[in-house]
Formats: sequence, structure tokens, C-alpha cells
Amino acid sequence: MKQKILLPLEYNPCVRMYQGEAFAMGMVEGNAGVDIKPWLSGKFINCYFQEEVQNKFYISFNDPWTLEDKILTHQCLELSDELHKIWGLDYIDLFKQMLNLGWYPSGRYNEEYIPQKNAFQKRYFYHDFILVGYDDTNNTFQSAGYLEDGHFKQYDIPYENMVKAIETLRTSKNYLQFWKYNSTAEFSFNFKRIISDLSDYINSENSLPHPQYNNKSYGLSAIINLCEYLLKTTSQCGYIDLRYTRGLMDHKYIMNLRIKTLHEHNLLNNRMWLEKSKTVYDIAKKIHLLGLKFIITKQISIAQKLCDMIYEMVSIEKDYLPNVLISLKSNVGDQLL
Amino acid sequence: MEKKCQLPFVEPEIMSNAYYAFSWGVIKGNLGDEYDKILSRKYINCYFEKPFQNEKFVIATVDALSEKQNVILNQALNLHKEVASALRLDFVSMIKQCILNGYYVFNTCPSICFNESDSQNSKTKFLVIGYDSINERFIIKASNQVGCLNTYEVNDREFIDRLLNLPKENIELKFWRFNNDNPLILDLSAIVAEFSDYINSKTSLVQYTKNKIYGFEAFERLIEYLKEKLLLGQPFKRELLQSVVDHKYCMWKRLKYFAQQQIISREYVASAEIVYKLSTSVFSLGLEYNVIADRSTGEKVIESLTNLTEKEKEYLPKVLEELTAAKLDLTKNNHCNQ
Repeated sequence: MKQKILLPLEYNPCVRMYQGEAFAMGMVEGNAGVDIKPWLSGKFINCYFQEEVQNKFYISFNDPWTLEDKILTHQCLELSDELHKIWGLDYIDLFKQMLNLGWYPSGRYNEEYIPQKNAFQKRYFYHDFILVGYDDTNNTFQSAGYLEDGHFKQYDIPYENMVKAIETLRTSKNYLQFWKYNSTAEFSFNFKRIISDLSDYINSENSLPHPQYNNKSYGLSAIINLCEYLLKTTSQCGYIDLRYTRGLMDHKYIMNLRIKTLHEHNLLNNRMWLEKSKTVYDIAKKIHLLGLKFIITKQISIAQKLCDMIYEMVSIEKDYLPNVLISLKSNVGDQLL
Repeated sequence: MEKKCQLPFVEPEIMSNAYYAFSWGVIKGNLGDEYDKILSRKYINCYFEKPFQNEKFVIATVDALSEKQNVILNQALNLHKEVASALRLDFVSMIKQCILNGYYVFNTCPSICFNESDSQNSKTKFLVIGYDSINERFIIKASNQVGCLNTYEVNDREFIDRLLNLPKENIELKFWRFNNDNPLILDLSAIVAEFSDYINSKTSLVQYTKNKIYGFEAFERLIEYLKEKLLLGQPFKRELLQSVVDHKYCMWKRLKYFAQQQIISREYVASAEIVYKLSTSVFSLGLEYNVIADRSTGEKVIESLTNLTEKEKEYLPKVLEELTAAKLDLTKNNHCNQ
């Protein structure tokens, strides 16, 4: 067996509001080696908000791990520790073998045993992980994730800590997944999906197979609900979850990229829309910075300004996106729908 | 390792879906008569689904395996063959170790593995329930061509080779273990919610509801489907008819259990039994219609199903009232005891 291996990963992926999205896009962007923008413009279009759950805002419920697009392939072991022991499966050996074959192991671990993580040596914390390599010279796995300094980057996990972090999980079974980039992946431009998902986003609907929750909002309504939630938590608790402002920024970055791509394909004829999407993206960047500023100052006026900017962003999108959709439909006609 | 081992399994009464049948067989095999407590809250609501002309009548709106109720622990292996080979996994030995430790092994394979069909396209679900190392055999339950469960003894190595040679990239296996530590609580709140959903033709569960029609309306939609088929002179889907029998059998057994526990009046058990008998007529007449293609027989099927639905609409709302009252009593008692 090799002594060390490091699989490619993009550490500044286009979507990284949650680690899961960052892992998936990190693998895709780290391996692609071609222009993925045409494909990306058909992703992360609709979004949803649900207040009752832990992660309340998502921009990636449509095939986030790119399996339907056949860009990443997947296998899994969903086993209890008991069954692992019965079979004598050794986690260290299993992960190393998988990495040797080009598969990225991922799953859940207890961060109490993971150096550089917030919960290290403090408390039990169930969280997701990905491994990108191993090094037998210092007995460590190489992983990527958000560390205690708030940055998404590569870090090392000693072999014995990794095993301990999995074996101490308080769940009935461990979900281990293995991902591999499909070397024949095609990053095709999915025009039909853009029209369908954009229509859902504008109309605050969801036409995809997705569990129906009474209190889940989609599209532009989801962003308004997120704004109301941020206003509530900042004023009542003095707290803001920056993952949500990061998510808004990711979403608007891709919307801007989408409009650019549609222009390049001569599917949009009004340059104003390009400027509008750029304006919205710039506002989203400011919103994220205001979030950071709020964390430091706790000034409610900053939170209020942040929310006003979200409303402004929504207002611009409500104004121009329906016209984009009409233009897309009329430019291409019904044959693709 | 033991030379022979076989896990408990009791022949199940419901047969519309091998997945339900296997989980029923495993739970009943391990629990005996106490199974009624689990059945009391399973297969209450149902739905009719018509996506892309592939009609389904489903009697398990949620948790068909009883995994969420923590009755069966379900684990899965879904590995790329390349990886399984690199890891040098010996599936024969792994399955034997599983069985020895109380794990049943579930998956789908071509019926040809059990000599039930010559075609690679014909698939069947199977459950490995035991092994015999002396004769190098796995003991397997699988459904045959007419939808009945058979017990097969097949060469262990040949069976695994067949699974590994399927034209698929991955090898997939599921491992079920009966949870002996489950306290088997009778959850009246969940039962009332399911009955209410069934009667009001809705679901309060979080699930994808597009193209699905629930509860009483599901039966009305099923009747419409049968009428359409009859008009076109086409056969009725056997699985749909079997699902009706399974649903009514479970309702009858459930009400019998509730009556024994003095949660509802005994009169409803008789009603449920009548409905169950009507469902068996629906099934047998439906099969007869499929063979002889006689219009009047088809009409009798529809008539029986209509009668059955009307009967349920009469008595089940009263059952719901009694269940709701029992739930309230229980809540009050619990409150007083605290």
C-alpha cells in the first residue's frame, strides 16, 4: 500500500454555507478541470426556509451531491459498530484502501476527538466529515472542513483520533459514504431545469419530489422568511448564524453567473438584467459583511440595515427575474419544455 | 463458528409486498402473539398512487419495516464491486457471521437464482434467514412467481457469485436485526392520528404527496381504476387486489386487539370481519375476472369493493370516536398519576 495520498479538493468552492455542500462542490471543482459554469448555472436555483429545524435555510435541495447528473458516484456502509466488529472491519484500513482507489470517505464523527475543531476536548459534537488523504509517515488522515477559526480548509486527524471519533458516536449506526468523481462527467447546460427551477423560485413554489412540510417556504418567500428570522434572532438573542448570510451570498453569486451564462448563450437580450444580478450579488456580499460586523458590535441598527438590504435584494429580483423567465421561454419556444 | 444456524421466521399473512411480508415474518417470528401490539399502529392509512400509468395501492404510508419504531434495526451495505474486491470481502463468511449474530440479510436478485424463471429480467426479493455450513447452503425466503413465499436452500458460494455477477456497479445488501430491547408501547396518539388521516383521506405525515390519494378516497380511486380497466377489457393488477385483502386483514386483527384490550367495543370487530371477508371476495373474483375476462364478474368485483368501502365509512368513524376517548382517558390518568 502507498505511504501517502492526497485527493484533489477545491478549498474555496462556489457553495459552502454548510460543510456538506462544500464537500460536494469541493470534490466537483477540485476534479473537473473544465469549465463547469454552464452546468452550474442550472444548479442552486430554488431555495427553502423552515424555522423548526436546525439548518433552516437551504439553497441545494435539488441533487446537491450531483448524483443525478452523474458527476459524483457514491457507495455507502450504513452499519452499527457491532456489525463492523463482527466483520472485523478496521476503519483505518478501510479509509486508506478507499482513498487509494480514489474514493473520498465521508460520514459523521464526534468532534470531541478532532484537533482544531471547536468541540475538541470539550464536548460531544455530532458532525459531518470528509477525508481527502492519508499520510503513514505521521499516521494522519487529511480532512477538510470549517475549523475553529471559521475558515474552510485542510487539516490533519491522527488515525487513533479518527477511530475514537467514530466509535464514540451515540447513534445506532454509522453512515459512512464514499464518493468518487466520474472521469467521464459531462457538465451540460440544462436549459429545461433552469426554466423550471427559476419559475419555482419566482413563484415561491416547489415542483420537485420533496417532502411536503406545511411550514416550509420556497423561493423568494423563503428569503423573506429568512430575513424575518434573522431580525428576530438578532434583536431577541443578539445572535446571527453567518451560514445563512453566506448562503445568500452563494445563491446570488450563482444567480449572477447564471444570467451571464444565459447571455453568453444568446438566450437573454437585455443587458440590464446582467447589471441587476450583479447589483444583487454585491448587496449579498455586503449583507454577509454586515453579519460579521453584527457579531462583533451587536448593534441592532446593523442587523436592521442587514435586513433592509435583504428586502432590497428581493425587491430587485421580483422586478427583473419574471422578465428573465418570460424572455427565456419566448427565446427558445416550447420545444425544449 | 456454528455449523448450522436459522433465525426465527413465521409465515406472514400479508403478501402484497415481499418487503412487508418479510418484516412481518421477522417480527412475528421473534415476538409471537405480541406482534398484535405492533400491528395495532401499522398499515392504518393507505394511498393510491398513479405515476406514469403505474398504479400502486400502498398500505404502508410510513415505516413499512418498523425501523422508525425501533423494532427492526436496519443497516445497509452498498459497495462498488471494485471496492469490495479490493477490500477482499468474503460475503459468504460475512453473511454467516451476520446470521449467527441475529441479522437477517435482505435484497433483490433475479428469480433465476431460485430457478423460478429463465429470464434475468424477472426479479425477486429475498431474505437469508439461515445457513448450513455442512452442505454449504444458505436458507432463503423468497417470493415465487405466484406471489407466495417459498423456502429455498441454495449453494452459498454460487448464490453470492450470482449477486456479484449482476450487471450493476454496486453490490447492495441490507441487514435487519430484531430489537429485543424495544418496550412495545401502545401509542394511542399515533393510532388516533393515523385513523383520523385514513377517515379524512389525508396524511399528516411529512412525505412527498404528489399523485397520492389517501384513505377512503384511495379506495374510491381504486374503484375508478377498476372501472377503467373493465371498460377497456383489461385485467386488474393482482398486487392491488392483494393489497386490499392485506389492508382489511390488518384492520380486522387490529380492532380485535383493541377490543381485547377493552379500548373499543366488540361490535366493531364483527364489522371488520365482514369487511375482510368482502375483501377476499374482491380478490378471488378479481382473479377469476382476469382468467375468464367476463364483464359481469368484473362488475361484481367493483360492487364488492364499493360495499366494503361503504361499510367502513359507516363504522370506522365510530371506532375513531372510541379511540379518541380512550386516548383522552389515558392522558387524564397519566396526568393524575403525575
